[in-house]
Amino acid sequence: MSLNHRSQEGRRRFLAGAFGIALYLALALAPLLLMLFADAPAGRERWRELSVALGFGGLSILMLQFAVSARLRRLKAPYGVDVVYHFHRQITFVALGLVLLHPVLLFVFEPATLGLLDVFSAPWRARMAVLSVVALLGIITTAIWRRSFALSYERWRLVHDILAIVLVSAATTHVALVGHYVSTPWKRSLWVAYAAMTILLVLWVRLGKPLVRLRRPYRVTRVCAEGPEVWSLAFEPVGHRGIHFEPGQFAWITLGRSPFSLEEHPFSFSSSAAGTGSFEVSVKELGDFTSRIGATEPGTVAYIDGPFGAFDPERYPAPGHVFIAGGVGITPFMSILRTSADRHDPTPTTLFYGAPTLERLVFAEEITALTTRFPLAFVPVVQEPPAEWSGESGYLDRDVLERHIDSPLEQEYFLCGPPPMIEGVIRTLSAMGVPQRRIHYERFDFV
Amino acid sequence: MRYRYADILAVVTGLAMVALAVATAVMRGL
Repeated sequence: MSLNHRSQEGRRRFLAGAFGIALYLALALAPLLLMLFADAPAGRERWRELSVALGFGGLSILMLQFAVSARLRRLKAPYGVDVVYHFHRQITFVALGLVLLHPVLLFVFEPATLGLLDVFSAPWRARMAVLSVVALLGIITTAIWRRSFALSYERWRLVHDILAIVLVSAATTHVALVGHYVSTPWKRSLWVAYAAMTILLVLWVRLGKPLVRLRRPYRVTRVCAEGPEVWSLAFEPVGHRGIHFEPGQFAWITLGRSPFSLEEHPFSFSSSAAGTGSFEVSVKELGDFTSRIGATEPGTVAYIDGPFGAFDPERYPAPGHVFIAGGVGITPFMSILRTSADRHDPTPTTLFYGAPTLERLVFAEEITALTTRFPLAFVPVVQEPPAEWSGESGYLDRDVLERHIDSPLEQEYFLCGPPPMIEGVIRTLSAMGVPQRRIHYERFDFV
Repeated sequence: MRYRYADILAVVTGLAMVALAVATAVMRGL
């Protein structure tokens, strides 16, 4: 890819990203702007207006969460889906603060309203408000303490979706039953449009997208052991042209089940992005599902939701790239390295690859071979090496990095591996003076 | 860095929301 093409891509991505953020802010703030400037009912006490406005602000954020969390590739592409989910989580706490302030102000300035909390005697508008807050608290507690609730990821997603629908349905009913601010046509139209958006998004994510995937099946063509507990699976499209992805991206894969199934798993592509619609993923046996991955039969049908992710060094032109992989964190780098070799990428690249033992340094032979195809320096780091090992040993610390990186402040750094390793390397790079904007990683440990 | 930008956007959204709510209360409240 030429530098000119890359900078054009970068500019286009920046504009798309800025547009997405501006659109989000406009939609989030629209209800309050309408309260201020459009035709409105007669004003009430200041504290009551403040309380109601905060409630509307919280509700508009919560309704937009359906758009933020939906896997809409075009919307997520400029940022990376991991960071959008991070935002999805953080903005929930903002919404919680706004939503809780709404009744708290009422209780403080008009203590008699505390009686509305008695759901047995309270009117339906209050019951709906209580139900929506309970659903919101349920969403937050099950997301933070999913494992304490012994909820599997799939069951948590189902609970999360149901609570989200209960939340916005109850909150919208509360707004409609109170009726004060939806008495004008503009505001009624706005909330009807937001409610319609949430319904359409749920229908698209749960029915529309799986239906599209049903017509684009894949088949497992090969399952091979790469090393201890690491397997590669190759997929080919059946009756369609397949998937095109960028190196470092990933997809959610449904294996041997209907595309409507909630059981799907995110896997990084490990094959070259210069492929022709087929692809490979490499997986370590870690959980219930992945521990059985090696037993997958060739011919198994699969459905793909993707590609997603922004872990693509081509987005960050620099005098040099440094890749730091720990264990199975090597998989996205395999795609990146294979693609760089296929595309004859001239960027000088250094790969640090840490593993507990030499046997667990999977793909090492192939990586060594790739060093002859483009300017790649390979630095394996083995924690417990055999006696004859002459390479780096122990952990990926500052000494190891500094021994192999020329001009460390001019490089772009890409990290993938276990979270403690990522955190350790970020601390080390920061201590070396590397600015945060040059350190790139993706996290998937939110729930 | 992307995570920090996301945090900043969340805080900015919240502050803008509070500012607009206060403006609503001041301009429309009795």
